[in-house]
Amino acid sequence: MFPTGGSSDIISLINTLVFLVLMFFIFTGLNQKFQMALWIRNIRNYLLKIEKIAADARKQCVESLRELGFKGDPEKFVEKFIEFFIIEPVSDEPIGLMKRLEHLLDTRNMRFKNALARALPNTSKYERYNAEVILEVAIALTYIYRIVRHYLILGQKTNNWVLIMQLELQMPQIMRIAETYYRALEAFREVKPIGDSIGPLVAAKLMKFNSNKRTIVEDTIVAEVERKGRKLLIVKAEGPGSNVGKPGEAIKRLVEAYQGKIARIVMIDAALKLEGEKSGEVIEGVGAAIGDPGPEKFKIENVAADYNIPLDSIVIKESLEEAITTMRKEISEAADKVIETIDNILEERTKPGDIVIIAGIGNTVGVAQ
Amino acid sequence: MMRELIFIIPLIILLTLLILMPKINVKKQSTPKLTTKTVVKCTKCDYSETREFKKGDYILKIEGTCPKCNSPTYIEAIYAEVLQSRK
Repeated sequence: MFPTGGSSDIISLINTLVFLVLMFFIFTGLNQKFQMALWIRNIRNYLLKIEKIAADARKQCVESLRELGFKGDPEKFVEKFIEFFIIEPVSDEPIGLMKRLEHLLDTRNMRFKNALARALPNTSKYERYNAEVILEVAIALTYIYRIVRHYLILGQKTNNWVLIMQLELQMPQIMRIAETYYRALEAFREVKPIGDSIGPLVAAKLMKFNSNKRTIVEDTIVAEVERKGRKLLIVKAEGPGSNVGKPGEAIKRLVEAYQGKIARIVMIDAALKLEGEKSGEVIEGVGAAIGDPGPEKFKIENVAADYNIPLDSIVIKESLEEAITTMRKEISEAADKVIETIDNILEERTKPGDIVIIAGIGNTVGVAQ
Repeated sequence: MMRELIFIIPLIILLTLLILMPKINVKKQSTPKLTTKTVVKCTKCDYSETREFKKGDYILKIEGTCPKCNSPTYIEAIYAEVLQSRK
């Protein structure tokens, strides 16, 4: 079986050994175990990195709270909220689902806001809102870390190579999301406008220095502006703190206050672009352009359908990273293109004297009114 | 000797790749360096100035006076742009 003599014997021996080892691996399934060990090692490296950035986000959150003059131990405060959860309402019974979901989301928001108001008594509302978003980023990163760790340990415990393989294949995307959230911290700490602020930015440009504005719902502003002979009711979240407001409730109240005599509702929001598409591109469509968990969108669709008001949407394309980090130049420049599109809508689809609602949707961090 | 090397060299390359691959995979995404700019405009005339972002800046903040007409100035835009590398 094994030839003898010289270097060719050694090579033949190695050849045979390699062949036997390979056959052994294939027939006993060890090749899969070896592959799984490589995947696990790779996932662990990713996990270590996520753990590091999640810990750093928590640290930054504690530092921000300390800078704002936190009363007590900010570390304990962050630990208390870091695994805060919300149990989704029963969806098998859809009646009143949106109302129940809104109630839960409001309860959660109030818990955060009240806790921060008690712990940071000498700060403005905007400073507390920014601290809340930084806490939210730390919560999101900790959640990603816990989920990845859970599936890794579960896959190892149950020897489930399919689970490990899926995790390994998804890790680059998960890592990208985690790094994007981490980079978003800088914008929120320094109160810079983010890509998602493009909707409020357009609204702010339209209502610029207008004195005829009021709070219509908590954290949401409406301003009356004359443009092209039409009366515009401009809705945006109250800035410049990190805040999304309640645009759905605001639009509903406005439509009801005007007894449905609204010619059109135009919504402006950032939309996730597909890979290969250009950032800052402005496109038009129909429907409620808003990315909330459901209640606000539901209210807008409902009120528009009830009063038969056409619902237009203008979206500005951007990636997830661009949406939650400091606003890029090309996205900022898109605001003027959106205003041109609004002017076209007013001229082509409304008559002079009509009342039109323009809603700038998104986080208004770094954008006042 | 040459024939042994033919076996040994790929074996060493394979082992090195096996050790280094996870580290290469987890390498940080390359992101361009960005700098944040603030655009200040006059409320009355066409005066405009672009400067580095300062903490406390926000869009529509009234700050300073126009060097051309002495009217108040405001922050028109804040955006991030790719930092140009020096050649």
